[in-house]
Amino acid sequence: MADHTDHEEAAGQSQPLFPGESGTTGRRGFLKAGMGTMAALAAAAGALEPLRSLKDGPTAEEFLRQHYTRLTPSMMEEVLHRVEERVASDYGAKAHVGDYKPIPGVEFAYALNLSRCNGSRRCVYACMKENNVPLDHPEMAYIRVLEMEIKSLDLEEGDVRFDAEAVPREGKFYMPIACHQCSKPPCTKVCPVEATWPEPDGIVAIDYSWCIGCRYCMAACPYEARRFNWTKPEFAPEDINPDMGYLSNRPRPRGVVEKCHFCMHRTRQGKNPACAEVCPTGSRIFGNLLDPDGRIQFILKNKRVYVLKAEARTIPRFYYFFDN
Amino acid sequence: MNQDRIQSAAILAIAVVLFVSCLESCSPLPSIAASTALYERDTSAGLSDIAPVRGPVRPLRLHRDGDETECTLCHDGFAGDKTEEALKNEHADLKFNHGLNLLCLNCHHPKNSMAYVYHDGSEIPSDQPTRLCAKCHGPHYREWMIGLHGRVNKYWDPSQGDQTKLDCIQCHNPHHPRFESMAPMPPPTLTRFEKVTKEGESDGGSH
Repeated sequence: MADHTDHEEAAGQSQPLFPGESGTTGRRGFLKAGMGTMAALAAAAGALEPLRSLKDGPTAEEFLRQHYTRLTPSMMEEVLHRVEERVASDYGAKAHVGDYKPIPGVEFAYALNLSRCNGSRRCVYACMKENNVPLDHPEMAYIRVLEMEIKSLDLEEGDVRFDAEAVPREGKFYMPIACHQCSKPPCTKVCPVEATWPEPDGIVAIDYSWCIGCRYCMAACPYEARRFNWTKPEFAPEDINPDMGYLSNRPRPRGVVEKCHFCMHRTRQGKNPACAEVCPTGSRIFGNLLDPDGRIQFILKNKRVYVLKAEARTIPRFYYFFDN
Repeated sequence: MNQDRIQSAAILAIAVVLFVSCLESCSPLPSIAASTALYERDTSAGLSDIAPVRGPVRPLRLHRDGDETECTLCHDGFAGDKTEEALKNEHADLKFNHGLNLLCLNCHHPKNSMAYVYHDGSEIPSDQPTRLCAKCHGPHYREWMIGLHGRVNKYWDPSQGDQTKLDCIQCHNPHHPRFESMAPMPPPTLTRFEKVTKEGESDGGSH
């Protein structure tokens, strides 16, 4: 009230409150403003009310969290701790969440032997277990296996939902497809909030806390590699993989997009991705594209290599190859 | 105008107060130390079954009716009767489909039935079957050596940890080496609305 009196006196002396403005503020005006404020307050309270009943919504800390690239090391430590707490409270599991950085001099690449793959889908389920994708939601699997006619590479003819007593079936070959970690990723260009970006080691990362769920990236991806979380994933505590990475396999909230990230939490520690570990035919070969003596460069130099949808000019880091 | 300024400033201030108070009320999370009975999963062995198709390398034995018999029981110092009849009787449970390689003694040592035979007639110990296969399968052996044929487990980066390779016979049956077919895991549903029924047929959903 004291402030207000001052204003009135100031107004009486014809001194504008803000430079470049004229006019006076009277008691009536103030009351009007107060009433307006009260109305706005009530409206705001009403508008915020649904947030209270939102059980799986973001916590305040998550709501205010910075973009991944703007987190300082101390902020990151705090954030990782909060994620661990969230896993503990939501799923009753003790997890370790790390923020694994790219290894200098390493650019990841994947090579898959189409002459060997037998379509057993072991990689699909190993991936789901590793990356905390609920096993009862196979539509969320990052890897899809296409069954195709031999002597054809027409993707339109491929069948994702093949089911057989035994594979491989006569006259068919199998082509698993996941994120190709493109050098020129169309998905990151369309993201309106920069929630997805290519990392220095070639992995296209997603900040799940920054994603707004607009799904532009899903429309942009020529490989249909991205999945949208329609529901919050549910697990029993013993089904959670507690070895988590912030940009990789920590449980995603509802309403964000996720995809294959080359098992970032494993591969940045030198380990194989889960799909390569489990492949019964040894078709999956993972390594450093920049290593001149590595397996990836050997394949590129010596095998017949096929790039999926090369005409899309995405320059993938995922190579299919054939051998004898 | 002033009035509008004050009004909006007041609204802003109250909104901030409201927001902060909302944060206060909905933010508390139990700390990890405080919550009890958290499940601690051991993932040191990995989450998925990475056992090879045929299991570990086993020593040479005759397996019959759940029993194991040493080969020397019959083949003690002699090559055995090479007639088809004897083969049918004694090794009836073995399937043979190894291309042109039709003779036992191409691989098995004629004198020591617990070993394999090399080109020059020397012995290959039974725990080194890869050397035997390399006699004929040179290209595959060379690819196996550099990690292109067969699965390499554990570390992609050999400088950071061990790589493990599987032996040939952990995936291929030496008597019919073609990789055997296996049952695939269940297919994906295409939408979240589509549930897979017990018969494996989908209901609902349209595309």
